[in-house]
Order: sequence, then structure tokens, then C-alpha cells
Amino acid sequence: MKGRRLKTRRQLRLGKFNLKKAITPSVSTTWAYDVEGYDGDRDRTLIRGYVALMSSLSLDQVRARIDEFWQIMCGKSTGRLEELYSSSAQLLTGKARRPEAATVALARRARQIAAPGTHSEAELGLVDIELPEPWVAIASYTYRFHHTRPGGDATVQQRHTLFGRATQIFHLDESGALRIVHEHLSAATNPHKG
Amino acid sequence: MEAVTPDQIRGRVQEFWEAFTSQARDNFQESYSPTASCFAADGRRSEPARLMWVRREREFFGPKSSVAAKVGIVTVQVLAPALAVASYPFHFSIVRILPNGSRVEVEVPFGRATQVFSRDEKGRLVIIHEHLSSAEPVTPKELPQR
Repeated sequence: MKGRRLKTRRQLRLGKFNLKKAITPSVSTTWAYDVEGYDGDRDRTLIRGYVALMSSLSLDQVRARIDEFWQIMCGKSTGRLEELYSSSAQLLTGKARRPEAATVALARRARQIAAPGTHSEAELGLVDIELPEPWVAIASYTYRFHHTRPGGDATVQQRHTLFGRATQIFHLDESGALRIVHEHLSAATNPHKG
Repeated sequence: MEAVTPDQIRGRVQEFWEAFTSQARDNFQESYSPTASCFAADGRRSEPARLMWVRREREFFGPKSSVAAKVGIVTVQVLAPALAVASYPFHFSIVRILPNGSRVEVEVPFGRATQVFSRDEKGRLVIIHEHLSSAEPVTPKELPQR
């Protein structure tokens, strides 16, 4: 395969970690088009222009975006989750039975993150990044996610996802921003409650 | 080389499941790049396609195993002329052989798949990344030995 694949071990506990700033690509003369694809369904075409000078993304940019994502998920960043996603992104996450548009899934997530009294921590495992095209990255990794929120009767509800798995596909858009175009988060076993 | 179309990707998804459910080992393996990374529905980490082939062959392709699947609507995102993502729900019914030799029946009514396809050196569309999961908890049912 022509793509590059590199692995990096990134054991981090968010909150004890300084977010690296994403590197903004210096080339901004690329362009892309985002058109409706196929017979009225949710297909999307995100092919960048062939004739334009193409910028390429770096592994550090992808890692920074993943870190940013988890900082927001853990309520440790004021960044907005939706800014990480392409408007045409498709997500498979939580208990959703089929792919959802980003707007639907992110609205649900934003409510969970912003709920008062919640506390979340994430630990990421080995991050595998493949660059099948200069402007596309496929990141896959495992994670643990610990979420605490107030329950009824002054109790605390805890949920521990011990064997989380993530696939996040990033795409460098026409403005040079790296955005998630596809995401699949799942767990190999049922979350542990307690 | 011609740019990939959503129809071609849907065709490859259909061929993949035909190969899987008919236990056509060669066609199944040819659906993947040997270097593909795969998250099985119950896998705690990703595994390379070469390893996954060996495991699935042992668990799913033997005479005591069976695989049935019904695939839902396939959403395709074309990311480059030779690169596309297919995501879809599927209903999966299997009888698999566990490493300890026991047979279990598993019903996955709300399976979810992400498959990233890329053209290989021969121009064939192959899976370079796969993520399978279930939206609901799954309870395997042990079957009597036969």
C-alpha cells in the first residue's frame, strides 16, 4: 500500500497533560469541493482538486487533534466539539444503531459534557495513524473512559469504559483545518457501572 | 485509474458479506489488504488482517461454524479518487468455535460496521481498515457438542 503507517505509544491521562498546539499548514492554495453524492442518500464526496497544489498533513497534527478531542470530551477545554468535525461527518457511537450525521451525535455529546457535576477522565492506548492520502489520516486506538455524574437521591453514577476502541478519519479541508469526517467509537465489553 | 464510486463500494461490501457467509476463504481474504488493521466486534485491540484471517478461519470457516448476515443501508463517503469509507448497520447470526473448542451461538441484531476501502496496486478495492461493533450488549449462548 502506498500509505504511510506509524505507531506511537501515547499513554496519557488528560488533566495532567499539556495540549500541544496543532500545526497550521503553511500551504493554503488547495481547494476542495463537497457535493451531494449518490441518489439522494447520505453519501458524500470529499475529493480535493487534482490540479491544485496540495498540502499534506503531519502525524503531529493528527495527534494534536486527537488530544484536543479528548480534552473537550473530559470538559478540560473550552474548545467546541463541532469545530473538530466536517459538516458532512458520519458517526457511529454510543448505542446508535446506524451511522448518524455529526450534528445529531454531537448535540447529544455536548449535553453530556456540559451537565453540571460531571467529571470525566480518559486514557489513550497505542495510537496507530495511517496516511493513505496526503490529506487523509486514519487513526485507530484503544482508550479507557471514566465518567461520573450526579444521580438521583444525592448519589453518584459512575461508568467505566475499560475497553474502548476508536477509529477517527481526518481530512484536511480547503481552509487547511484538519477535521474528522468519520468516527466510530465502541467498546469490546459492556461498560462497568459502580 | 478511474475514481471510486459509491456503487462500487456498495458492490464490494456485498461481495465481502457473500464471501463471509458462504465461508469462501480466498474471496474473504482477498477483500482485505494484508496490512489492514481490524477491530473485531469483541476485540479489545486492533489486529492486522493476517492475524484476523487465521482467527476467523478457525472460528467461522470450519464445518461446525455458520455465518449469516443481513446488511442495512450502506452510507459511502468518498475521500479521494481511490479511497472511500462505507458505514452501515448489519444483523449478524453466527455459530463460532472458541479457542477452547466449545461452540457458541451469537446473535448480533444491531451490528455496526466501518470499512475503509482503497485501491491496491492491481486496482482492486480492498479494505485497509475495519471497525465492527455492536450497539447493544451481546450474550453468547453455548451449544452442545455434536
